[in-house]
Amino acid sequence: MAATATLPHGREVDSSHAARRVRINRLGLWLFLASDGALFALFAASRFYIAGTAISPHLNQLLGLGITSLLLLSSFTAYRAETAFTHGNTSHGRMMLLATVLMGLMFFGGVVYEWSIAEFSPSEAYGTAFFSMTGMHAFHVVTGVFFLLLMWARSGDGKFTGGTNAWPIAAAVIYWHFVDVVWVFFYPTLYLLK
Amino acid sequence: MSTLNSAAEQVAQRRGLMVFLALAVLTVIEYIVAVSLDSVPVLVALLAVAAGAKCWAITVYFMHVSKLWRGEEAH
Repeated sequence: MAATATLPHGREVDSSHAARRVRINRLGLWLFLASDGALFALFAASRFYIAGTAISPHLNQLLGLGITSLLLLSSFTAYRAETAFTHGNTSHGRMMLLATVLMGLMFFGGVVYEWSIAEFSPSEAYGTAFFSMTGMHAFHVVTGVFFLLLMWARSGDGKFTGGTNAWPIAAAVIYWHFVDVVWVFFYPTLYLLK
Repeated sequence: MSTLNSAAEQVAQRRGLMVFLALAVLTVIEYIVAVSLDSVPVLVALLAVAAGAKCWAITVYFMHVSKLWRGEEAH
């Protein structure tokens, strides 16, 4: 008898069909991330075109390092969440999802604070780059937090537990890692050059 | 209090911790290099290498990019 897996909406399918379905979904997600990544790459390229490598001397470097560390740590908790769900450990996974959401919100708060104390305007060359890049990235952080919260709310009954059943969690977490990858390039581009 | 279920989960979580520590070290190195170097071309090159390494680690270990061609049994 063929092994079965349960789709998120409750229908049972054989596991090879479920694995093929997840593989197609995974390819679709990565194609989306590639197109979204191209958008962020254009933002980064325009930063160098309009402002060179110059940065504002008024940037709060410690705040930049702090929110960067926070986003890295949130990627780690997101990884822990996905791993826990994949191995059938729903309670730990849900706790890690909440920790990731909390750190995502703190990152967003840090960006908002940085905007509020910025001593450069959006009309300056560097300001244009800074506000557009951090703004677009913060929008992705907010959508990522929304997806993670959605997964937390829907995972209480254990339906996302184990193997291919955990794909919805994995998809939200992969998106969150993508947001982190973008910041891996934006942080040195906006804060660390001279 | 939740705990880790299986040996396989423990191995995976330990690998995640090692990757996170490597990312944290690279971030600190980036910061130190940025505040101590004056040569912009050298700084740009070093920051690009560090960012590329961090991107590779996240893509391979956290995002499981190899599952795209190896299927769901990878990792």
